Amino acid sequence: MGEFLNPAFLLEIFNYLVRYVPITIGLAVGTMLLSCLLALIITILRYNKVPLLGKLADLYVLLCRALPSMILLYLVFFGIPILLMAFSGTAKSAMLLRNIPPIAFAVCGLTLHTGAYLAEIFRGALQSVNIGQTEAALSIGMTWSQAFFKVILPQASVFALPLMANQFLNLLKGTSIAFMISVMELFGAASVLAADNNAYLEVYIVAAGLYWTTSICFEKIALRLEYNLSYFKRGANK
Amino acid sequence: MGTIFSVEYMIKSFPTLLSLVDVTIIVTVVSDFFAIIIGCIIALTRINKVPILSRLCALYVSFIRGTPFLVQLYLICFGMPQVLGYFGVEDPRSIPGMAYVFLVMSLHEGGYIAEIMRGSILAVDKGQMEAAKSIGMTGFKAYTRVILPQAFRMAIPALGNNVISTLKSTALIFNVGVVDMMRRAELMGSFSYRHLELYVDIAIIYIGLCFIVQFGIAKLEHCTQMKNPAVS
Repeated sequence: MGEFLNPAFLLEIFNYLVRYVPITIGLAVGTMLLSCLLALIITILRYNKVPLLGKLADLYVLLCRALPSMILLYLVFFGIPILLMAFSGTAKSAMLLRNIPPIAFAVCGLTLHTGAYLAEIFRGALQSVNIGQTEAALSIGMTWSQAFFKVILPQASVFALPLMANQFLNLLKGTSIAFMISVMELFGAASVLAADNNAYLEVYIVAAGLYWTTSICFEKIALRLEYNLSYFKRGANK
Repeated sequence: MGTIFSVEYMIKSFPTLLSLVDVTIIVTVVSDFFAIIIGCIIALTRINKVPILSRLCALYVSFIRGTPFLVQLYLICFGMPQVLGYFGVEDPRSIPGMAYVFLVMSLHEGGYIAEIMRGSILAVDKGQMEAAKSIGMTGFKAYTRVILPQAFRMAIPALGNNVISTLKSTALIFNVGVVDMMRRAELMGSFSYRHLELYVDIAIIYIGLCFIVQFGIAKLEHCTQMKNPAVS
Protein backbone atom coordinates (compact mmCIF):
# COMPACT_ATOMS: atom_id res chain seq x y z
CA MET A 1 0.00 0.00 0.00
CA GLY A 2 2.57 2.45 -1.12
CA GLU A 3 0.24 5.27 -2.03
CA PHE A 4 -1.85 7.38 0.28
CA LEU A 5 -5.41 6.06 0.83
CA ASN A 6 -5.58 3.55 -1.98
CA PRO A 7 -9.28 3.36 -3.09
CA ALA A 8 -9.13 -0.36 -3.89
CA PHE A 9 -7.76 -1.06 -0.44
CA LEU A 10 -10.48 1.08 1.16
CA LEU A 11 -13.13 -0.87 -0.75
CA GLU A 12 -11.65 -4.13 0.45
CA ILE A 13 -11.80 -2.92 4.06
CA PHE A 14 -15.35 -1.73 3.52
CA ASN A 15 -16.44 -5.12 2.24
CA TYR A 16 -14.93 -6.77 5.27
CA LEU A 17 -16.24 -4.35 7.90
CA VAL A 18 -19.75 -3.95 6.52
CA ARG A 19 -20.52 -7.49 7.69
CA TYR A 20 -20.10 -6.36 11.28
CA VAL A 21 -22.61 -3.51 11.05
CA PRO A 22 -25.59 -5.82 11.77
CA ILE A 23 -23.84 -7.01 14.95
CA THR A 24 -23.44 -3.44 16.16
CA ILE A 25 -27.06 -2.62 15.29
CA GLY A 26 -28.27 -5.83 16.91
CA LEU A 27 -26.31 -5.09 20.05
CA ALA A 28 -27.73 -1.58 20.18
CA VAL A 29 -31.33 -2.62 19.51
CA GLY A 30 -31.21 -5.52 21.96
CA THR A 31 -29.72 -3.32 24.64
CA MET A 32 -32.26 -0.61 23.93
CA LEU A 33 -35.20 -2.99 24.35
CA LEU A 34 -33.82 -4.37 27.61
CA SER A 35 -33.04 -0.91 28.93
CA CYS A 36 -36.54 0.29 28.07
CA LEU A 37 -37.88 -2.54 30.18
CA LEU A 38 -35.48 -1.76 33.01
CA ALA A 39 -36.21 1.94 32.83
CA LEU A 40 -39.95 1.32 32.82
CA ILE A 41 -39.68 -0.75 36.00
CA ILE A 42 -37.43 1.85 37.61
CA THR A 43 -39.78 4.64 36.59
CA ILE A 44 -42.85 2.87 37.97
CA LEU A 45 -41.00 2.25 41.23
CA ARG A 46 -40.04 5.90 41.49
CA TYR A 47 -43.37 7.22 40.27
CA ASN A 48 -45.32 5.35 42.92
CA LYS A 49 -42.68 5.95 45.60
CA VAL A 50 -42.52 2.26 46.55
CA PRO A 51 -40.97 2.31 50.05
CA LEU A 52 -37.50 0.80 49.87
CA LEU A 53 -37.29 -0.02 46.18
CA GLY A 54 -38.08 3.53 45.15
CA LYS A 55 -35.06 4.80 47.06
CA LEU A 56 -32.89 2.06 45.60
CA ALA A 57 -34.06 3.02 42.13
CA ASP A 58 -33.12 6.64 42.84
CA LEU A 59 -29.67 5.53 43.98
CA TYR A 60 -29.22 3.37 40.90
CA VAL A 61 -30.09 6.21 38.55
CA LEU A 62 -27.81 8.60 40.41
CA LEU A 63 -24.82 6.26 40.39
CA CYS A 64 -25.15 4.89 36.90
CA ARG A 65 -25.46 8.34 35.40
CA ALA A 66 -22.28 9.43 37.17
CA LEU A 67 -20.24 6.46 35.98
CA PRO A 68 -18.52 6.30 32.61
CA SER A 69 -19.97 3.42 30.62
CA MET A 70 -16.48 1.99 30.26
CA ILE A 71 -16.16 1.54 34.01
CA LEU A 72 -19.67 0.18 34.28
CA LEU A 73 -18.80 -2.37 31.64
CA TYR A 74 -15.67 -3.41 33.51
CA LEU A 75 -17.57 -3.61 36.79
CA VAL A 76 -20.08 -5.93 35.18
CA PHE A 77 -17.43 -7.94 33.38
CA PHE A 78 -15.35 -8.54 36.49
CA GLY A 79 -18.17 -8.27 39.00
CA ILE A 80 -20.75 -10.76 37.77
CA PRO A 81 -18.41 -13.78 37.93
CA ILE A 82 -17.36 -12.80 41.44
CA LEU A 83 -20.93 -12.27 42.49
CA LEU A 84 -21.89 -15.69 41.16
CA MET A 85 -18.90 -17.25 42.87
CA ALA A 86 -19.85 -15.62 46.14
CA PHE A 87 -23.37 -17.01 45.91
CA SER A 88 -22.49 -20.52 44.87
CA GLY A 89 -19.44 -20.59 47.14
CA THR A 90 -17.41 -22.66 44.70
CA ALA A 91 -15.20 -22.04 41.76
CA LYS A 92 -17.35 -24.44 39.76
CA SER A 93 -19.56 -21.68 38.46
CA ALA A 94 -16.44 -19.92 37.25
CA MET A 95 -15.97 -22.80 34.83
CA LEU A 96 -19.54 -22.39 33.65
CA LEU A 97 -18.96 -18.70 33.16
CA ARG A 98 -16.40 -19.32 30.49
CA ASN A 99 -19.19 -20.49 28.27
CA ILE A 100 -20.99 -17.17 28.53
CA PRO A 101 -20.13 -15.13 25.46
CA PRO A 102 -18.67 -11.68 26.22
CA ILE A 103 -21.53 -10.10 24.28
CA ALA A 104 -23.84 -11.00 27.19
CA PHE A 105 -21.68 -8.96 29.53
CA ALA A 106 -21.65 -6.12 27.04
CA VAL A 107 -25.45 -6.15 26.85
CA CYS A 108 -25.63 -6.18 30.67
CA GLY A 109 -23.25 -3.29 31.13
CA LEU A 110 -24.74 -1.14 28.39
CA THR A 111 -28.26 -1.89 29.63
CA LEU A 112 -27.38 -0.65 33.11
CA HIS A 113 -25.90 2.50 31.61
CA THR A 114 -28.71 3.28 29.16
CA GLY A 115 -31.41 2.22 31.60
CA ALA A 116 -30.42 4.94 34.04
CA TYR A 117 -30.59 7.62 31.35
CA LEU A 118 -33.89 6.32 30.02
CA ALA A 119 -35.32 6.30 33.53
CA GLU A 120 -34.61 10.01 33.78
CA ILE A 121 -36.17 10.60 30.36
CA PHE A 122 -39.28 8.65 31.33
CA ARG A 123 -39.55 10.55 34.58
CA GLY A 124 -39.47 13.84 32.70
CA ALA A 125 -42.01 12.53 30.22
CA LEU A 126 -44.39 11.44 32.97
CA GLN A 127 -44.09 14.82 34.60
CA SER A 128 -45.03 16.45 31.31
CA VAL A 129 -48.42 14.72 31.40
CA ASN A 130 -50.99 16.70 33.31
CA ILE A 131 -51.91 15.14 36.66
CA GLY A 132 -55.54 15.72 35.79
CA GLN A 133 -55.25 12.95 33.20
CA THR A 134 -54.51 10.37 35.88
CA GLU A 135 -57.27 11.69 38.08
CA ALA A 136 -59.75 11.67 35.23
CA ALA A 137 -58.79 8.13 34.27
CA LEU A 138 -59.11 6.92 37.84
CA SER A 139 -62.39 8.74 38.33
CA ILE A 140 -64.05 6.91 35.45
CA GLY A 141 -63.15 3.66 37.17
CA MET A 142 -59.95 2.59 35.43
CA THR A 143 -57.53 0.61 37.53
CA TRP A 144 -54.12 2.15 38.10
CA SER A 145 -52.41 -0.02 35.51
CA GLN A 146 -55.11 0.71 32.95
CA ALA A 147 -54.73 4.41 33.56
CA PHE A 148 -50.96 4.19 33.35
CA PHE A 149 -50.71 2.10 30.21
CA LYS A 150 -53.74 3.41 28.30
CA VAL A 151 -53.80 7.08 29.19
CA ILE A 152 -50.49 8.27 30.61
CA LEU A 153 -47.98 6.25 28.63
CA PRO A 154 -49.20 7.17 25.11
CA GLN A 155 -49.08 10.85 26.00
CA ALA A 156 -45.72 10.57 27.71
CA SER A 157 -44.27 8.66 24.75
CA VAL A 158 -44.81 11.66 22.46
CA PHE A 159 -42.62 13.68 24.78
CA ALA A 160 -40.08 10.94 25.33
CA LEU A 161 -39.53 9.78 21.77
CA PRO A 162 -37.08 12.45 20.55
CA LEU A 163 -35.04 12.02 23.72
CA MET A 164 -35.14 8.26 23.40
CA ALA A 165 -33.99 8.49 19.81
CA ASN A 166 -31.11 10.63 20.97
CA GLN A 167 -30.26 8.09 23.64
CA PHE A 168 -30.42 5.31 21.08
CA LEU A 169 -27.93 7.12 18.86
CA ASN A 170 -25.68 7.55 21.86
CA LEU A 171 -26.02 3.87 22.58
CA LEU A 172 -25.25 2.96 18.98
CA LYS A 173 -21.99 4.83 19.34
CA GLY A 174 -21.52 3.53 22.86
CA THR A 175 -21.47 -0.07 21.65
CA SER A 176 -17.97 0.58 20.37
CA ILE A 177 -16.60 0.18 23.89
CA ALA A 178 -17.80 -3.43 23.92
CA PHE A 179 -14.64 -4.36 22.05
CA MET A 180 -12.73 -3.75 25.29
CA ILE A 181 -14.16 -6.99 26.61
CA SER A 182 -13.41 -8.75 23.33
CA VAL A 183 -16.80 -8.51 21.63
CA MET A 184 -16.32 -8.61 17.87
CA GLU A 185 -18.58 -5.82 16.72
CA LEU A 186 -17.81 -3.17 14.14
CA PHE A 187 -15.13 -1.43 16.13
CA GLY A 188 -13.63 -4.64 17.49
CA ALA A 189 -13.34 -6.02 13.98
CA ALA A 190 -11.85 -2.72 12.80
CA SER A 191 -9.17 -2.68 15.47
CA VAL A 192 -8.17 -6.27 14.73
CA LEU A 193 -8.08 -5.57 11.01
CA ALA A 194 -6.05 -2.42 11.55
CA ALA A 195 -3.49 -4.22 13.66
CA ASP A 196 -3.29 -7.11 11.16
CA ASN A 197 -2.63 -4.89 8.17
CA ASN A 198 -0.83 -2.11 9.99
CA ALA A 199 -3.22 0.28 8.25
CA TYR A 200 -4.77 2.28 11.02
CA LEU A 201 -5.77 5.35 9.08
CA GLU A 202 -7.61 3.55 6.29
CA VAL A 203 -9.43 1.10 8.53
CA TYR A 204 -10.60 3.69 11.02
CA ILE A 205 -11.72 6.04 8.28
CA VAL A 206 -13.91 3.28 6.87
CA ALA A 207 -15.17 2.36 10.35
CA ALA A 208 -15.99 5.99 11.05
CA GLY A 209 -17.82 6.21 7.75
CA LEU A 210 -19.89 3.14 8.56
CA TYR A 211 -20.83 4.47 11.98
CA TRP A 212 -21.66 7.80 10.45
CA THR A 213 -23.93 6.29 7.83
CA THR A 214 -25.67 4.10 10.38
CA SER A 215 -26.25 7.04 12.69
CA ILE A 216 -27.69 9.17 9.91
CA CYS A 217 -30.02 6.34 8.84
CA PHE A 218 -31.32 5.91 12.37
CA GLU A 219 -31.70 9.64 12.76
CA LYS A 220 -33.91 9.71 9.67
CA ILE A 221 -35.96 6.79 10.98
CA ALA A 222 -36.36 8.54 14.33
CA LEU A 223 -37.56 11.74 12.66
CA ARG A 224 -40.07 9.75 10.63
CA LEU A 225 -41.31 7.95 13.76
CA GLU A 226 -41.53 11.20 15.65
CA TYR A 227 -43.68 12.67 12.91
CA ASN A 228 -45.99 9.67 12.96
CA LEU A 229 -46.27 9.65 16.72
CA SER A 230 -46.93 13.37 16.90
CA TYR A 231 -50.36 12.45 15.51
CA PHE A 232 -51.55 12.32 19.13
CA LYS A 233 -50.29 15.78 19.73
CA ARG A 234 -51.53 17.25 16.48
CA GLY A 235 -54.92 15.70 17.12
CA ALA A 236 -55.09 17.30 20.51
CA ASN A 237 -54.16 20.71 19.22
CA LYS A 238 -56.88 20.87 16.61
CA MET B 1 -7.53 -16.59 45.74
CA GLY B 2 -8.39 -16.26 49.38
CA THR B 3 -11.40 -14.07 49.84
CA ILE B 4 -13.59 -13.32 46.89
CA PHE B 5 -13.75 -9.59 47.37
CA SER B 6 -11.02 -8.00 49.45
CA VAL B 7 -12.11 -4.72 50.96
CA GLU B 8 -8.65 -4.37 52.47
CA TYR B 9 -6.99 -4.40 49.07
CA MET B 10 -9.57 -1.97 47.78
CA ILE B 11 -8.78 0.54 50.52
CA LYS B 12 -5.06 -0.04 50.23
CA SER B 13 -4.96 0.69 46.49
CA PHE B 14 -7.29 3.67 46.65
CA PRO B 15 -4.53 6.29 47.28
CA THR B 16 -2.42 4.88 44.46
CA LEU B 17 -5.25 5.32 42.00
CA LEU B 18 -6.27 8.66 43.42
CA SER B 19 -2.74 9.97 42.84
CA LEU B 20 -3.38 9.69 39.09
CA VAL B 21 -6.61 11.65 39.13
CA ASP B 22 -4.71 14.76 38.01
CA VAL B 23 -4.36 13.31 34.50
CA THR B 24 -8.13 13.02 34.22
CA ILE B 25 -8.70 16.53 35.53
CA ILE B 26 -6.04 18.13 33.33
CA VAL B 27 -7.39 16.43 30.22
CA THR B 28 -10.93 17.51 31.06
CA VAL B 29 -10.01 21.14 31.79
CA VAL B 30 -7.65 21.65 28.87
CA SER B 31 -9.84 19.98 26.28
CA ASP B 32 -12.96 21.76 27.47
CA PHE B 33 -11.15 25.07 27.27
CA PHE B 34 -10.16 24.51 23.66
CA ALA B 35 -13.52 22.92 22.91
CA ILE B 36 -15.35 26.07 23.93
CA ILE B 37 -13.14 28.14 21.63
CA ILE B 38 -13.66 25.72 18.75
CA GLY B 39 -17.35 25.52 19.50
CA CYS B 40 -17.79 29.29 19.48
CA ILE B 41 -15.90 29.69 16.22
CA ILE B 42 -17.96 27.00 14.52
CA ALA B 43 -21.21 28.34 15.93
CA LEU B 44 -20.43 31.85 14.68
CA THR B 45 -19.38 30.53 11.29
CA ARG B 46 -22.64 28.67 10.93
CA ILE B 47 -24.83 31.48 12.20
CA ASN B 48 -23.26 34.05 9.91
CA LYS B 49 -23.44 31.60 6.99
CA VAL B 50 -19.86 32.15 5.83
CA PRO B 51 -19.98 30.74 2.26
CA ILE B 52 -18.00 27.48 2.12
CA LEU B 53 -16.85 27.33 5.71
CA SER B 54 -20.33 27.01 7.15
CA ARG B 55 -20.98 23.92 4.99
CA LEU B 56 -17.69 22.45 6.16
CA CYS B 57 -18.55 23.19 9.77
CA ALA B 58 -21.94 21.51 9.41
CA LEU B 59 -20.20 18.47 7.97
CA TYR B 60 -17.70 18.49 10.81
CA VAL B 61 -20.39 18.67 13.47
CA SER B 62 -22.33 15.90 11.78
CA PHE B 63 -19.21 13.71 11.68
CA ILE B 64 -18.36 14.33 15.32
CA ARG B 65 -21.88 13.61 16.44
CA GLY B 66 -22.30 10.62 14.16
CA THR B 67 -19.25 8.59 15.07
CA PRO B 68 -18.22 7.10 18.41
CA PHE B 69 -15.61 8.88 20.47
CA LEU B 70 -13.52 5.75 20.48
CA VAL B 71 -13.34 5.71 16.68
CA GLN B 72 -12.29 9.35 16.61
CA LEU B 73 -9.70 8.67 19.27
CA TYR B 74 -8.20 5.77 17.35
CA LEU B 75 -8.45 7.60 14.06
CA ILE B 76 -6.42 10.51 15.35
CA CYS B 77 -4.04 8.68 17.66
CA PHE B 78 -3.15 5.89 15.26
CA GLY B 79 -4.03 7.46 11.92
CA MET B 80 -2.41 10.83 12.49
CA PRO B 81 1.16 9.51 12.77
CA GLN B 82 0.58 7.76 9.44
CA VAL B 83 -0.59 11.02 7.83
CA LEU B 84 2.31 12.92 9.31
CA GLY B 85 4.62 10.23 8.03
CA TYR B 86 3.34 10.71 4.48
CA PHE B 87 3.93 14.41 4.76
CA GLY B 88 7.52 13.80 5.68
CA VAL B 89 7.48 14.49 9.39
CA GLU B 90 10.35 12.57 10.86
CA ASP B 91 9.50 10.05 13.55
CA PRO B 92 5.86 11.01 14.18
CA ARG B 93 5.62 8.33 16.87
CA SER B 94 7.78 10.42 19.16
CA ILE B 95 4.90 12.88 19.68
CA PRO B 96 3.48 11.98 23.08
CA GLY B 97 0.06 10.32 23.14
CA MET B 98 -1.19 13.07 25.39
CA ALA B 99 -0.95 15.64 22.59
CA TYR B 100 -3.23 13.54 20.40
CA VAL B 101 -5.60 13.04 23.29
CA PHE B 102 -5.88 16.78 23.82
CA LEU B 103 -6.46 17.25 20.11
CA VAL B 104 -9.14 14.62 19.73
CA MET B 105 -10.94 15.52 22.95
CA SER B 106 -11.03 19.20 21.99
CA LEU B 107 -12.29 18.39 18.51
CA HIS B 108 -14.89 15.97 19.83
CA GLU B 109 -16.28 18.21 22.53
CA GLY B 110 -15.99 21.19 20.18
CA GLY B 111 -18.48 19.55 17.85
CA TYR B 112 -21.00 19.17 20.63
CA ILE B 113 -20.37 22.59 22.13
CA ALA B 114 -20.82 24.15 18.69
CA GLU B 115 -24.42 22.98 18.67
CA ILE B 116 -25.00 24.19 22.23
CA MET B 117 -23.52 27.61 21.46
CA ARG B 118 -25.42 27.89 18.20
CA GLY B 119 -28.64 27.34 20.07
CA SER B 120 -27.87 29.84 22.77
CA ILE B 121 -26.52 32.53 20.43
CA LEU B 122 -29.68 32.24 18.36
CA ALA B 123 -31.68 32.50 21.58
CA VAL B 124 -30.21 35.92 22.35
CA ASP B 125 -32.72 38.56 21.39
CA LYS B 126 -32.10 39.99 17.92
CA GLY B 127 -32.55 43.52 19.25
CA GLN B 128 -29.34 43.17 21.23
CA MET B 129 -27.29 42.86 18.07
CA GLU B 130 -29.13 45.69 16.39
CA ALA B 131 -28.68 47.90 19.44
CA ALA B 132 -24.97 47.12 19.58
CA LYS B 133 -24.60 47.89 15.87
CA SER B 134 -26.59 51.07 16.19
CA ILE B 135 -24.27 52.52 18.79
CA GLY B 136 -21.39 51.92 16.43
CA MET B 137 -19.89 48.65 17.68
CA THR B 138 -18.13 46.49 15.11
CA GLY B 139 -19.40 42.95 14.62
CA PHE B 140 -16.52 41.50 16.60
CA LYS B 141 -17.02 43.85 19.49
CA ALA B 142 -20.76 43.30 19.52
CA TYR B 143 -20.24 39.57 19.76
CA THR B 144 -17.57 39.61 22.45
CA ARG B 145 -19.14 42.35 24.56
CA VAL B 146 -22.87 41.84 24.10
CA ILE B 147 -23.97 38.63 22.46
CA LEU B 148 -21.55 35.99 23.75
CA PRO B 149 -21.77 36.89 27.46
CA GLN B 150 -25.53 36.53 27.29
CA ALA B 151 -25.29 33.37 25.23
CA PHE B 152 -22.83 31.84 27.69
CA ARG B 153 -25.11 32.51 30.57
CA MET B 154 -27.90 30.66 28.82
CA ALA B 155 -25.57 27.85 27.84
CA ILE B 156 -24.21 27.13 31.31
CA PRO B 157 -26.48 24.16 32.14
CA ALA B 158 -25.83 22.53 28.77
CA LEU B 159 -22.11 23.29 28.94
CA GLY B 160 -22.06 21.77 32.40
CA ASN B 161 -23.55 18.55 31.07
CA ASN B 162 -20.89 18.64 28.43
CA VAL B 163 -18.11 18.99 30.99
CA ILE B 164 -19.47 15.94 32.78
CA SER B 165 -19.59 13.96 29.58
CA THR B 166 -16.01 15.01 28.84
CA LEU B 167 -15.04 13.83 32.29
CA LYS B 168 -16.67 10.51 31.60
CA SER B 169 -15.08 10.05 28.22
CA THR B 170 -11.64 10.45 29.81
CA ALA B 171 -12.16 6.88 31.00
CA LEU B 172 -11.41 5.83 27.42
CA ILE B 173 -8.12 7.59 26.82
CA PHE B 174 -6.06 4.86 28.45
CA ASN B 175 -6.54 2.93 25.20
CA VAL B 176 -3.98 5.06 23.43
CA GLY B 177 -1.20 4.77 25.95
CA VAL B 178 -1.91 7.59 28.37
CA VAL B 179 -1.19 6.42 31.89
CA ASP B 180 -4.23 7.39 33.90
CA MET B 181 -6.27 5.65 36.59
CA MET B 182 -7.67 3.06 34.21
CA ARG B 183 -4.27 2.05 32.89
CA ARG B 184 -2.83 1.86 36.38
CA ALA B 185 -5.78 -0.27 37.49
CA GLU B 186 -5.20 -2.59 34.56
CA LEU B 187 -1.53 -2.96 35.43
CA MET B 188 -2.21 -3.45 39.11
CA GLY B 189 -5.03 -5.85 38.33
CA SER B 190 -2.91 -8.05 36.12
CA PHE B 191 -0.46 -8.27 38.99
CA SER B 192 -2.91 -8.99 41.79
CA TYR B 193 -5.83 -10.58 39.87
CA ARG B 194 -8.17 -8.27 41.76
CA HIS B 195 -9.66 -6.20 38.96
CA LEU B 196 -13.04 -5.65 40.52
CA GLU B 197 -11.70 -3.96 43.66
CA LEU B 198 -9.65 -1.56 41.56
CA TYR B 199 -12.51 -0.69 39.26
CA VAL B 200 -14.78 -0.11 42.23
CA ASP B 201 -12.15 2.37 43.46
CA ILE B 202 -12.17 4.14 40.12
CA ALA B 203 -15.95 4.16 40.10
CA ILE B 204 -15.91 5.90 43.47
CA ILE B 205 -13.42 8.48 42.20
CA TYR B 206 -15.47 9.20 39.09
CA ILE B 207 -18.70 9.51 41.04
CA GLY B 208 -16.96 11.92 43.40
CA LEU B 209 -15.63 13.99 40.50
CA CYS B 210 -19.03 14.09 38.83
CA PHE B 211 -20.68 15.34 41.99
CA ILE B 212 -18.03 18.00 42.49
CA VAL B 213 -18.48 19.24 38.91
CA GLN B 214 -22.24 19.15 39.25
CA PHE B 215 -22.07 21.14 42.47
CA GLY B 216 -19.78 23.69 40.84
CA ILE B 217 -22.12 24.10 37.89
CA ALA B 218 -25.12 24.55 40.15
CA LYS B 219 -23.22 27.29 42.01
CA LEU B 220 -22.16 28.96 38.79
CA GLU B 221 -25.68 28.83 37.45
CA HIS B 222 -26.94 30.39 40.64
CA CYS B 223 -24.34 33.18 40.52
CA THR B 224 -24.91 34.08 36.88
CA GLN B 225 -28.64 34.22 37.28
CA MET B 226 -28.27 37.17 39.62
CA LYS B 227 -26.42 39.26 37.08
CA ASN B 228 -29.43 40.28 35.08
CA PRO B 229 -32.42 41.22 37.21
CA ALA B 230 -34.51 41.86 34.10
CA VAL B 231 -34.57 38.15 33.27
CA SER B 232 -34.95 36.58 36.67
